[in-house]
Amino acid sequence: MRRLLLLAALTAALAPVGAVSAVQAPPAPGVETGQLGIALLEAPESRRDDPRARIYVVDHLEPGDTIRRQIQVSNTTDETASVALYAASASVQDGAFTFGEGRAANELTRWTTVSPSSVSVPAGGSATAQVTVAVPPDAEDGERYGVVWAEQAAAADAGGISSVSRVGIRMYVSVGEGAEPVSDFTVGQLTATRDADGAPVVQATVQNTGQRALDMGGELSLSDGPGGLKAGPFPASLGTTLGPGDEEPVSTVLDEALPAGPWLARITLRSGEVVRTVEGTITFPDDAKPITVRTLVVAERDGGGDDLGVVVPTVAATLIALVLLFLFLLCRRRDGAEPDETAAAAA
Amino acid sequence: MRHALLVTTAALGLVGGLTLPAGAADTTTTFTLTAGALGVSAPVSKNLGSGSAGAPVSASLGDVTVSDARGTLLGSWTATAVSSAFTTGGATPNETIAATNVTYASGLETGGSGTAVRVPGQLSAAVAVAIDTAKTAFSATGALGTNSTTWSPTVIVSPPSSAVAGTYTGTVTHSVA
Repeated sequence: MRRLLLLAALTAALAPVGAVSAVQAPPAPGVETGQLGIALLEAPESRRDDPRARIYVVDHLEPGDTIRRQIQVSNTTDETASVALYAASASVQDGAFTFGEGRAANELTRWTTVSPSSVSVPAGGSATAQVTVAVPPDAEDGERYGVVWAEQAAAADAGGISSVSRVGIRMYVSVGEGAEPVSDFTVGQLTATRDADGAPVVQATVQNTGQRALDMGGELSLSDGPGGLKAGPFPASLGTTLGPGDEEPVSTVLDEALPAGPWLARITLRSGEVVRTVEGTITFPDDAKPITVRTLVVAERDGGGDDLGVVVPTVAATLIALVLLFLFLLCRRRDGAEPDETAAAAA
Repeated sequence: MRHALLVTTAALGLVGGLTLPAGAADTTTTFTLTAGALGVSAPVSKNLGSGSAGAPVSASLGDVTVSDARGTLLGSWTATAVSSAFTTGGATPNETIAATNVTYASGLETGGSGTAVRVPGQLSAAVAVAIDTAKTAFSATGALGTNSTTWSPTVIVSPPSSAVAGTYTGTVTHSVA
C-alpha cells in the first residue's frame, strides 16, 4: 500500500502542469453522464445580486485593469478527456449572442488568456483553470464579447464524421473610465392576437435603451380572467441577447383552449438586475387581427449595483451645494451686507 | 476668505473619499460560486456510410445532449453546428467535398428534462441548412432551474459529380454557450 502511495505521489509530481490541476473531485452537480461541462467558479463581489454575473464573465473595467476568474471543466464520461481551453470572439446581432467561427479573435480575446491552455480531465473528474483579462491602458471605450471555450475533439474514424464538442462561458466586458454605462430597456405596448393556428398570442416590443448588451428573459401571467380565472406564468420568448439600441419583438404563444378574455395581462422582463413590468387588459380577437392595448408600467426595479453609482454623486452634489451656499452667505455677510439690505428694503 | 478656502478643501476631500472606493474595488474582489455547469455530450465519431458522386449521403450523428445545471432564473443557451470540408487522399479539388455541400438538420427534441422553451434549428431533414458557417442547431430560453435537451441531428453530405472515389473524412463541431 505504501508503495502504491509513493507511486501515486511520484506520478503526481511528474505530471505536467495541466494535469496537476485535474483533480478527482466530483463534477459540478446536475451534469448528466457522458458530458463535457464548464462552470464559472467566482464572480465579482460588486455583482453579487446579478444573476448574469453568476454564469457569465460580466464586468466593467477601466483601461489598464486586470481581472481573474476561476473556471471548472468537468468530464462525466468514463474516459479521460483531453480538453483545449481558449477564448474566441463573439458578437451581439439580430437579438442573439453569436459565436465567432472556431478560434476567431477580437480585441477581448487578445486581452484574455486561459491557463492552462489544455488540460487532461480524468473520467468522472474535473479540473480548474484561470481566465485572465488584462485590458491595455490604451483600450478604447465600449463593450466587447467573447466566449471561453472548453473543446474536446474525438479521434477521427476512417471514413466518417469526426465530431468535436465545445462548451463555453460567455464574456461581456465593458471598458471605459469611471462609472459603468447603464443597462436599461423599455417594454412597448401589449398586443393580443392569434397565430396561423388560431392560438392566442401576446406580443410586445422590447428596446435596449442602455449602453450594454442585455440577456433577456421574461414571463407572462394572466389574471382576472372570465370567472376569475388565472393562468401562467408562461415563459416569454424573444431574441436572447439585445445589443445597445436594438429592438426585438417578444411574444408568448398560449393554448388555443384559453378563453378569449378579458384578462389582466402582466409581462415581466428582466436582464440581470434590471426588471421591467407592464400590464394591460387584453381580449384575444376572433381572428388574427391584432388588438393593441394601452399598457401601464407597474413596476420598475434596478439592481443594487447601480444604486451606489447614483447615490454617491447625489450625496456629493448635495454636499457641494450646501458648502457653496454657506460660502455665498458668508461672503455676502462680510463684503456688503448694508447695500444688499438697502436694496432689499427699497424693493 | 481663508476660512472659506479651508472649508472648500475639506468638502472636496470628503467627496473624493466617498467616490473612490466605489470604482476601485469593483474589479478585484470576487466571491465563490457553487452553481452547476453547462454541459454538452462528449463527441463521438460516426461512419458516414458509402455513396456515389452526385448522390447525397445522409447520416445520423447520434444524440447530442445539452444539460444546463447553472440554475439561473430565465437562463438561456444556444447550440451551433459547423462543418469542415470533407477530404480524401491529398485533398486536391477533386478529392474535396466543400463544407457548403454539407447540410445539417437538428430535427425535433428527442428528450429533455426541466422547464425551458426549446427551439430546434431545423425541424426536419427537408429544411436542412448548409453548415459551412455556424448555424443554430438548438436553443433554449426561459429556463427555470436545471434542464436538459437532447436531439439527434442528421448530416447530409453531397459529393459533387467531380469528386473521385475514396474515403472522405470531415469534422462537425457543436458549440454550446
